[in-house]
Amino acid sequence: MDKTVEDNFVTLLEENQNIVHKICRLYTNNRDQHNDLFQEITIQLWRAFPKFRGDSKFSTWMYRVGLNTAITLYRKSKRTVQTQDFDTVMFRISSQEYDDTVEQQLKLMYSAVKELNDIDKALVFLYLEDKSYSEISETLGITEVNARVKMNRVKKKLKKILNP
Amino acid sequence: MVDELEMLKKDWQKQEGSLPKYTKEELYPMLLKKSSSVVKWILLISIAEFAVWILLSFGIKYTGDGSSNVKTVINGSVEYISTGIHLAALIFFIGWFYKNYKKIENTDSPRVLMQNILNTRKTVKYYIWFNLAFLVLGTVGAFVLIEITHPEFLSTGSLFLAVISLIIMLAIAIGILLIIYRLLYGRLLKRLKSNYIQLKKLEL
Repeated sequence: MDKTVEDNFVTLLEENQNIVHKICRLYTNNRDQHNDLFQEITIQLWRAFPKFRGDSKFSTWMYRVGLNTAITLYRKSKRTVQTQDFDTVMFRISSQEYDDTVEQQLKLMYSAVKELNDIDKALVFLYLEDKSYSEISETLGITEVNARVKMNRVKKKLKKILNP
Repeated sequence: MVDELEMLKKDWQKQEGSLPKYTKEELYPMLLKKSSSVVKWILLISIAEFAVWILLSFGIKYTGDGSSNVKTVINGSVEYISTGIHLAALIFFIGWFYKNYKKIENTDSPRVLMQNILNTRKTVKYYIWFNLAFLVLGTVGAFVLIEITHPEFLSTGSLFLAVISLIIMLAIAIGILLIIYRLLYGRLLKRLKSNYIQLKKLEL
């Protein structure tokens, strides 16, 4: 592979790596798994890079390859142990800005999102990333109407998890 | 709930600062690492499956003593026809498998990607089923042929006993194969299948 192409890819990845990290946070439960998934997404992005024509933004393209890897291609490595330690630490963001009630609510919301299935998680992830329904439908390959209907169902599902 | 989700969205977007940050020097070596994706595993297992069946179908036929007895009883042309069908099927299935494998693109929509992976997997499954059907038909065919032309070749005196033992042997062989498959692919494809069902539900 051409060195310039490699440099170009790594620069783009470095600039946009937050997208990959956020996918990893949602789909994994500990740092080992996070690193494993990040590694696998990087390989998949690099593999698909020759076909990236630049007709969409690099970040948009990353969402699709990243989510595809998390939902379909990634196999959790056996050496990692399923724990919830990581997410309780990782979602304590700017906690001082919130009062206890808000923080508590947020924690509940995050653990509710984590309980969703892989597909619903992808939908919520794109929603949290402030993507429009047209972008969500394009990334997931479903119609815009279905994306809206499904998002409403997921909201209800979250509500049920929060208020059993 | 909408308000809570909006609150979550705002919080989600504030996490940038707490995310890990890899440097370029850390990212370069990642490009050289090997993938451990489901597709890679399916490819490796499928190649092994083709290899095993090639060995079983052709290897035993030419080296095993078991077939030579049958060969002397059944006309040699039947043997050639069966080998011809096997070879043609093998070429067809490997070609089909390769075509399906090449279709797998990680930039496709998740649904298309999952469908293509499952189709690739199915190709090998069809090949196995073809082999099993061939094995059953071949065994039954040979049995009938021998029974008609050279009944003295069947060691047991009772036709009923011979048929029952034939059925038991085939059932055990198929049973073992099914268990191996369940163990081999059950874990590998479980998540993919359930996600595929979830995605398909979205389109209802």
